[in-house]
Amino acid sequence: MSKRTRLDSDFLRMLIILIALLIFAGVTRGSAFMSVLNFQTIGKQLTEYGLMALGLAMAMITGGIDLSTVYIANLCGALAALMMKSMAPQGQIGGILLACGVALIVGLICGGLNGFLVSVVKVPPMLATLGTYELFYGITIVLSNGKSITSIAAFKKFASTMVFKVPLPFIIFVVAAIILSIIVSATPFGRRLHLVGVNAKAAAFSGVNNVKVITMAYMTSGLLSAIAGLISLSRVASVKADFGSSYVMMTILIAVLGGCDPNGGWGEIPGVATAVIVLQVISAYLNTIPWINNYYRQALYGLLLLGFMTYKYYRVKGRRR
Amino acid sequence: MNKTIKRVLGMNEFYVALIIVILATFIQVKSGLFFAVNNIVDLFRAIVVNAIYALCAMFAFVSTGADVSFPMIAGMSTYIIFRLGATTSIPAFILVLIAILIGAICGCVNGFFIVKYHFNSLIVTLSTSSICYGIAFGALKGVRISVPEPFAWFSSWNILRVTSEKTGLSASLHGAFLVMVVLYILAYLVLNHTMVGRAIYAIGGDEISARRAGFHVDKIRFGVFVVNGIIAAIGGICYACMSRNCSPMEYYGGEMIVIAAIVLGGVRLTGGHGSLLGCFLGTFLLGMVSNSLTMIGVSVYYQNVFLGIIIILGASIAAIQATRSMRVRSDVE
Repeated sequence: MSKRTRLDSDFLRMLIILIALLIFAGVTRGSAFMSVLNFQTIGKQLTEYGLMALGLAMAMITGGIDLSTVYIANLCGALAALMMKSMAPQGQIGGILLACGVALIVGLICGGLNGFLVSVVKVPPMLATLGTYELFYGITIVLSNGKSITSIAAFKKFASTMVFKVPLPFIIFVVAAIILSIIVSATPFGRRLHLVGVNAKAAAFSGVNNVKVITMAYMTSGLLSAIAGLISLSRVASVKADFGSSYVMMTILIAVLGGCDPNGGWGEIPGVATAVIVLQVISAYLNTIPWINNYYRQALYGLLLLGFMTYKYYRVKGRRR
Repeated sequence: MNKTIKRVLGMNEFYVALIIVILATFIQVKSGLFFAVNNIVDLFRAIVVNAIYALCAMFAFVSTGADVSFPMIAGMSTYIIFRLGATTSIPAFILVLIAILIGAICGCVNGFFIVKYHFNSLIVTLSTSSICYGIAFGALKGVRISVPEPFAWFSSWNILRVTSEKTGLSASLHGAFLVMVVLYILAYLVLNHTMVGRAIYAIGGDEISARRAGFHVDKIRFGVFVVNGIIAAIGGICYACMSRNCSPMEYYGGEMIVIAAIVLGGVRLTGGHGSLLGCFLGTFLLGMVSNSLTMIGVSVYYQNVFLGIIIILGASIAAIQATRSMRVRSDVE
């Protein structure tokens, strides 16, 4: 019972912060911020690391971490770009779909490798994904000869499509978040996911197939990363092995802000999804201030992460008393 | 005698050394250039900085957990003193002290959050790393700057210069090598001959037992991270002086190869295990791989693939060993 209230409070807190932020931004920046165009940009930009953050959250709930998400995304993006170039240079729909399908399967395989290393070989998750991160990064460099690969023209439309003025990538993000929320909070699998995170040994003794649960979590993360890779290929119109390396930090920050406990067992998807939006709104707001450059943002994320974890530490401690 | 052989065979370091010998022979056969003097000296020169960083990574892993902040601490502190050295006339040793102080402060921040709140050290050090990155690039406009006057002598200080008779290529060993040797000797003395060294292993092995045994777990842990900051700053200065310029960007992401190296060298990521010899051999092996891939005709593009495979294999073997020893122990019980 206490768990239920705690999880809701994470989601609620993020929602309150989001609304407060929007009001603050609207008051201080006025119509420049509160425009449809600005929100469309926000919706488009958050999808890539938003999907990765959802994947990381899955890994974090099982008590692990997935540092390889960004590089899975780049690998899948590069693969898809190369396949599209050779099979659908004029934008044949069949070739594009095939390339996307292959990219998604590769994402699943990458995630499966992570899951295998963590659950069967029992490599500490941080190290396993550090190793695969380097491996996927290396493979992408080999595939791309160290240069950036451009996307075929037809595929660029994918990310710029609008459905009732809402960017398609954002819809994908929302749908992914809703599906994952249901899986994590309302299915036996979601319950097992939390159980493994709280105490893997106890979970194993109560009949949970730890290997299956952990592997599934990492495969979900791989799949989401692959989708993110395709979206980023379409949005940026090119892919490079080291694209988005700062996203690693961001995804961890988002997962922790959204209520995931790095030690496992805690965390629900709605909180994480809201945290994604909060972070992108902050980022968009900082964009409107000219003297703040991108590098300060990195420092700010670091401060936010430390600050928020400290805040939560005192919250939890206060409640225990 | 039999016992000694058995002990050596059980040591991770032995296998790393074996791999080094096999790989060296292979490269020698394939290219005929590996055992040329200049290549050996080049190799030692190439691993100096990573070997220094390896100390940071090892202390952190043995006592607590991951530390990924050392490259950016190094980059930021070195950049700051180089800027100071270029614009003011502060003597070199005070500049070095300033760098060490900056490193120590960053280490204090790491240590504070890890000790006081028991946060995951990976996440804390990732945050400080981000903050250092932000300071170096945002506040200080991290551009590439050359070595300032006070460090000019250190930058061009070579302790050894050799020329290969076969190829006519020459190589020189930079003075930073001595810095590395001194740091390793100090680390050896502290780890093996002082109570603090025992404590570092003890708190990593089993925190509660260590506390019961009377070790000041929190103080030691805090100290480890402060020392890590200091070593990082020293490593950063060495790196910049060896490459004769400083650009904070070059430090970014340098932690991966170091962690890979110490894992190969037998440092266990769950804490309590690891030796200096292993650290050095692991660093040497990876240095060798990245230095020699081109010699045997492998494209540089494959370097990261190799690195990834090595980390995964090394970590898997260590994990399998750990699981097996756990099983043996529970059988005895």
